[in-house]
Amino acid sequence: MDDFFDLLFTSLALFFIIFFVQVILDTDAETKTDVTLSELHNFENEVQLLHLLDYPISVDGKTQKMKNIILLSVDVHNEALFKEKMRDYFEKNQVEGRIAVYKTKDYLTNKEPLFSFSNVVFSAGKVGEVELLTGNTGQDSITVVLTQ
Amino acid sequence: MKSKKGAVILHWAVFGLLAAIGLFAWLTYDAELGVKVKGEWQLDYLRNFYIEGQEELMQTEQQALLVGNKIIFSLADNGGFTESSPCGVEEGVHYWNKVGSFCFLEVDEEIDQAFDKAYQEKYNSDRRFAVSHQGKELVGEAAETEMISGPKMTYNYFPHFRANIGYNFDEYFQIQNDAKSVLDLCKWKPDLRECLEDTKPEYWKFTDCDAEMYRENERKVVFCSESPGRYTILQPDGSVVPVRYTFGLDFTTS
Repeated sequence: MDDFFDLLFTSLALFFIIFFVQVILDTDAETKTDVTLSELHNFENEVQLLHLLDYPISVDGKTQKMKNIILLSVDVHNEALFKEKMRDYFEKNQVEGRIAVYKTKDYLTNKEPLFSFSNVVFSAGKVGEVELLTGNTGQDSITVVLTQ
Repeated sequence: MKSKKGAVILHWAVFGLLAAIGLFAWLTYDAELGVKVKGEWQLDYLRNFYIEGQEELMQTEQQALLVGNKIIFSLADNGGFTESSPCGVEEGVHYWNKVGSFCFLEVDEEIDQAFDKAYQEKYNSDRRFAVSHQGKELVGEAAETEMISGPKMTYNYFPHFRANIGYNFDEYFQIQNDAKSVLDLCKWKPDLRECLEDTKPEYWKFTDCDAEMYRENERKVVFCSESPGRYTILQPDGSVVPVRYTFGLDFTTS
């Protein structure tokens, strides 16, 4: 009788141990897969920003890259040009989010952007930022920030 | 009796097994379990090295574009020469010929020198590029790699660039060919002015493109040429400036 209970007790103990280890490992694997997917998503977003800045766009019959349009808009204070070209890009590439351009020193001190364009009501958070040199004042720069 | 002894052994075995599992859990409390974050190293590499490198390349291309726009004008003002023309410089005007010889431009060599000079002046950097042009693009091949270092890895890349400056330096070939023809036709003519007015291309002006005025000094004439391709360069302040070339021709025969 004793042997029977010993066997039963041992079997139950082993079953529960294996069950809990399995649950812990599964949960851990799931969490880590989520971490990977989230990192991968962040990477894709950063690539999206690079794609935006390198995107060829036509202005007055001349094809220029979007980063040059942004710099030109800032240099000549032409917000309408900036918004028009951003709207084109966001629509053609089916992107949802907000793009903002700051003077780099203003961005570092959390000041308002020079220009921004958004086609969403709320954006979840920053996905990428790139600093661009301006032509006007030598080494001065602007920071372009994409949030989605 | 046998059964009692077996039960004791089994009890101790179960106790030992549980103790071993407990010890394992305690010792591996801080350690990673068998499952690791997938692609952790690769994603770290992509975000902190590859993206970083791409952003650096973008900066380099931007610098090249700004410097490229600058050297278009500096070269055009100097008849295409970075340093003094081997055919001579008079009153700041670079001559394209002297008696018996024509100073043909090595356009890519001049671009390379002008770019290097302007780049060092503007960015005070020790980067060196071999710069040439292909159509309307300025192409720079970096001499050395750039390195991004991290705790576990380093990422090396060449900061080459290809910047579309919207202008083709091949215009110099056309203007110099025209200059050679004008020289051949007019150098023996006693009335130089009449000959030049008849033979010079329409886009050439005497002395100044805005205020044309014929000036001749010992059969040496200064010209301002509009861009045959009507190139204009967009400036950072939004203005559009036409490209114009200044050079001198010497019509003496001996």
